[in-house]
Parts: sequence; C-alpha cells; structure tokens
Amino acid sequence: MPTVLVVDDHAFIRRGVRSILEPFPEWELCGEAENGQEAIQKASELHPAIVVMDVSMPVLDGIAATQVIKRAHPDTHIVLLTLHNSRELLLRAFQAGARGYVLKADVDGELLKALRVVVGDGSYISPRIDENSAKEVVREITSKFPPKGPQEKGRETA
Amino acid sequence: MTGFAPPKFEPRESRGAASAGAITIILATLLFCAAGITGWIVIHRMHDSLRWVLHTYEVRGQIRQARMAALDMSGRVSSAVATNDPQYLEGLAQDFSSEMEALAVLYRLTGDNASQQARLNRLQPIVATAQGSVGACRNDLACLPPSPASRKEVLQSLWDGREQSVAILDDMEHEEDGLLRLRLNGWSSHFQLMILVLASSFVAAVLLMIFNFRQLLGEAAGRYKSDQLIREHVDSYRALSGRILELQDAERRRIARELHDSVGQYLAGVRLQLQQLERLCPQNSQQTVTLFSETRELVDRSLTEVRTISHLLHPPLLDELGLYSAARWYVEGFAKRSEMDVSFLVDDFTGRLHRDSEIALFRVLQEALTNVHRHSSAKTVLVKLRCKNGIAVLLVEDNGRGIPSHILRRFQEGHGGGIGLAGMRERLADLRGTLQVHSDPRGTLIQATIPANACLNGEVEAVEILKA
Repeated sequence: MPTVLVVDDHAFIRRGVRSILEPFPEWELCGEAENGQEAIQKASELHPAIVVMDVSMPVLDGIAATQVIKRAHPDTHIVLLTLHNSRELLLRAFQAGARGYVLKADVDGELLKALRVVVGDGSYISPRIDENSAKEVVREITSKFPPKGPQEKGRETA
Repeated sequence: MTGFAPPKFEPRESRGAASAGAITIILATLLFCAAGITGWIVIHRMHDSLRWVLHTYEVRGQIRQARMAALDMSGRVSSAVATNDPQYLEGLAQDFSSEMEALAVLYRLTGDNASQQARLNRLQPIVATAQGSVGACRNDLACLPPSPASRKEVLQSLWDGREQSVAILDDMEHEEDGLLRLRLNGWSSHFQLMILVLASSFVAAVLLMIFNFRQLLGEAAGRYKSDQLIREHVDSYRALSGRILELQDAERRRIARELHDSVGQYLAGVRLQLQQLERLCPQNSQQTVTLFSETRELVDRSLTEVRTISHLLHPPLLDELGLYSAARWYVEGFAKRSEMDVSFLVDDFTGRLHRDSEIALFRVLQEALTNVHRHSSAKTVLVKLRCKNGIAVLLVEDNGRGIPSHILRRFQEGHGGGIGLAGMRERLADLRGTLQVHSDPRGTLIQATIPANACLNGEVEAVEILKA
C-alpha cells in the first residue's frame, strides 16, 4: 500500500488532496509538510512511496526539494503540482527527477491517475501542456535517465 | 523614474539682442552722418584756406613785380645819366607799364585789405611822380633837363621815390608774408582736422563692425543653443515614451503573475473544497445536484477568465517559447474573440529573438489587431511573420476602411512618442527597428521590422492558416 506525503504551503490545498485520496484506501496519506525543507525532513523520516508537492513554496521550492529527495531516496516518486502551464517548468521538473506534472486547477480530476501512473515508474503530464512539448520533454529526459519500469509517454495511457 | 532629469530651460534674451542691434545701427548712421557733415565742412574750409593762400602768393608775386619794375626803372635812368648813353633807357616804358599793371592788379587783389589799400594809395603818387619825370624817355636823353645839376635833382628825386616805393612794397610784402603764414597754418590745421575726422570715422566704423560681428556670433550661438535645447527636449520626450512603455510592460507582467498566482490559487482551492463538499453532502435533491454543478461551472469559468486576462496582459508563452508561439496563441484567440477571418502566415520564424525585441513586436501585434477589431470594420485580417537576412518582419494587413487621414498624418509626421503605435515606433527605433503604417480607404497595412541575429536560414517554411 503505497504511502503518500503531501507538501503545499496552503492548508486548503493539502486538505483538498487529502479529501481526494480519502475514498481510495489503496493510498495511505502518511504525512504533510508546508515547504521544501520540511518535505525533505519528512521524506527521510517517513519514506513515502510518492510525494505530491507544490512547486512555489517559501523557504525551499518544490524543484529544489525534488532534487534533494531524489538524491537521498532515488526510489521515491514525485508528482509536482503547479498553477502554471509551462513547458519550461515541466522540463525543469523532470530534470530534477519528478515524473508527474499536474495543474492545480485540474487536481481533483487528474491526481489519482497521475499517482497510479507514476508509482508504476511511468510519467504523467497534464493534458493542458501542448502535446509536442510534452513528448519532447519526456524523450529528452528518458534518453538520459532510462526508466526501470514500463514506460507510458505523454499522457497516462496511450 | 530614476535616471531621468529634464534639461534646464533658459529662454533666449532675444528682445535685448534686437534692441542692441537697433541701437548700433542708429548710432552707426548718426556717426556716418556726423563724419560726412564734418568732413564736408572741413574740406570746404580747406578749400577756402587754399584759395587764400594762393591769393597771397599772387599778391606777393605782384608786389615783387612792382618792386622789380621800380628798381629797374631807376637803375636804367641812373645808368643812362651816368654814362650819358641813351641805350640804357631801353625797356623803361615796359618797366613803367609793368609797374602800373602790377599796381592795378594789387589794387584789385587787396580790395578787402584796408592797410594794403592805404599803402597802395601812398605808392600811387610816387609812381605817378616818377612817371611824370622820366616817363616820356624813350631812346634819348632829351626827356631829361640838360644841365647836370638838374639831372642830378631828377635822379635824386627818382632815388627817393624808389626808396619810398620799395619801402612801401616791402611793408606790403611783409604784411602778405604774415597773412600767408596765417593762412598756411589755417590750411594745415584744417588738414589735420580732416585727417582726424577720417581716422576717427575709420576707427568708429571698425569698432561698430566688430561690435556687430560679436552680436551676430552671439545670436548664432544663442540660436544654436536653443536648437540644441529643443533637440534635447525631443530626445528626452522620446526616451520618456520608451521608458513608459517599458514600465507598462513590467507592470503588466507583475499584475499578470499576481492575478494568476494568487486569485488562481484560491480558485483552485475553492474547486477542491467544492469537490469535498459534494462528497460530504447528501446528493438527494435535484436542486443540490444542480447547485453543485453550476457552482463548479462558475469556478471553472472564473479560473479560465483569470488565466485569459493574465495571459492577455502578459503571455507566458512569450517568455517561454518565443514570439512565434505567443503570436500564434494570440492570433488564435483573437480570431475566436472577434469572429473575424484571420490568416496567420509564418515564414522561417522558428528561432528566437532578443527578449526586448520579441515583446516589442508582440505589443505591435496586439495594438494592430485591437485597432483592426475596434475601428476598421474589416472582414479579413492577415498576420505574417517572417525572418530573413537578419531582419524579423511582422505584417498586419486588413481590408477595412483605413485610418482617418488626420490621425495618419500626425503619425507620419513623426511626432514620436506617446502610448500607441507612435510610442511603439520609438521603442522599435531604439532597438534599431522600424514601424511603417500605410492606410487608405481600402485597408491598412502595418509593418514592423527588427534586426534579428537569430534568423535561421532554414529550408523549412511553416505556413499555417487559421480561420475563425
């Protein structure tokens, strides 16, 4: 039963994610953090299977925290949440080691799909991102870092 | 706004300069008149002096003639008597006539001189007496009394007469000498005065000329300075417009980001909470279901609006992917919003330009399309992006009714600055680009160019046509 760590500086976002996961017992919410620093700490303590993390946070942002967590615990999966539909950000997120990119506006519809795909070593990118850009990013990253598990490019499946 | 200080304005003292000029001209005229009048007077006096000098010379000449005649006359008679030879009497008649002539002339010439006239009056009888005694002598001594004693008497009286004449003539000459000296002095001083007048006129003229020249130089410098000032003002106005546009863009970027990141964030949160509510509340009535779905739709629409507004203020695509992507996104949106037929042609525009250039061109696109939508009543618009030979070109062409001629003229006359297209032209000019507007009742064409080092001379020609 994969454990989930939720990280966001806004309480209502964390609560929202919690309420999304609640009806699905396959996901166990093991902890919460308010910023990147706390996230790193909690990740070391709790060893979650997957971290759902906001990008823009005080103290330490999501991209930097992703880099640190991946270096310390390479097996931990990371899904980033953001307001911005940005190819640049997507690229940086995946370069840092995240494999999920979900827009906050769509989080209630897409988060579960994203978690399922990413925990299986796949990549999930919000469909709002232009398809060509998404494919390009995934291609660039996976050529450098070949995945261990089954690869599903672009969207969640097909 | 840092780094901007308006140039100081010092109004030119043109009024003062003008009156100084007038004064010098009046002064010069007066001086010339004065010099002229003085010169004329002095020359006249000089002329008079000279005449009098010549007159005196003439008088002296006549006196000498008279004296010579008197001496000659008595000499001849003496010699004739002494040698008893009448040949010495030759020329006696001429002597007499010469003397008479001289006297007559002297009378005339010294008509204004009482003392000379008095002397002449004394001389006259002496000459008459001499003439009386030996005037008749011609070739022989028969005119003289025969006895030597009487002859001696005659001679004596002649000599006396001669002495008296000579004395009188000497006096006359003496007086004339004095007059001559006087008149020569007079002439000389008039001459000196003349020289003085000429010299001072010359000096005055030179001084006035120098003064005038300095005035002219000063005026030219003043005019140059005020031209400089005007140029500075125009430049700083242009710089100001450029800065305003820059600040406007920075502001827009900031507002866009804040709007998107804060309001967008909260709306995303609302959506999440709404979903939780939906799950927690019993969905037993149609009303509840409807309310939830409508509320969710409202939130979704708010999110979309926030995104649209912030992206119109400052499209993130511009920073991330460049002008081509941002332009395409904007044109697509415009086609939908305006319900116009929009064609978007791209030619060799896969590279990226400098950030400032991209935003400058993007704003031109925005402004041009906004104008088309608001004012042109056009049916179709063509947007073309091209990059070739180091120059990026944006073209916006419509078939509307054109820009009103007074507005177009003001733009063409190049009064740079302002917020609209004129200000953008200045901004493009700063980036070494251009902005041209051609418009007539058949339509309008706006063309912006900017140098682009990153123009790719690729073989790929992407041509996309998007219709509303």
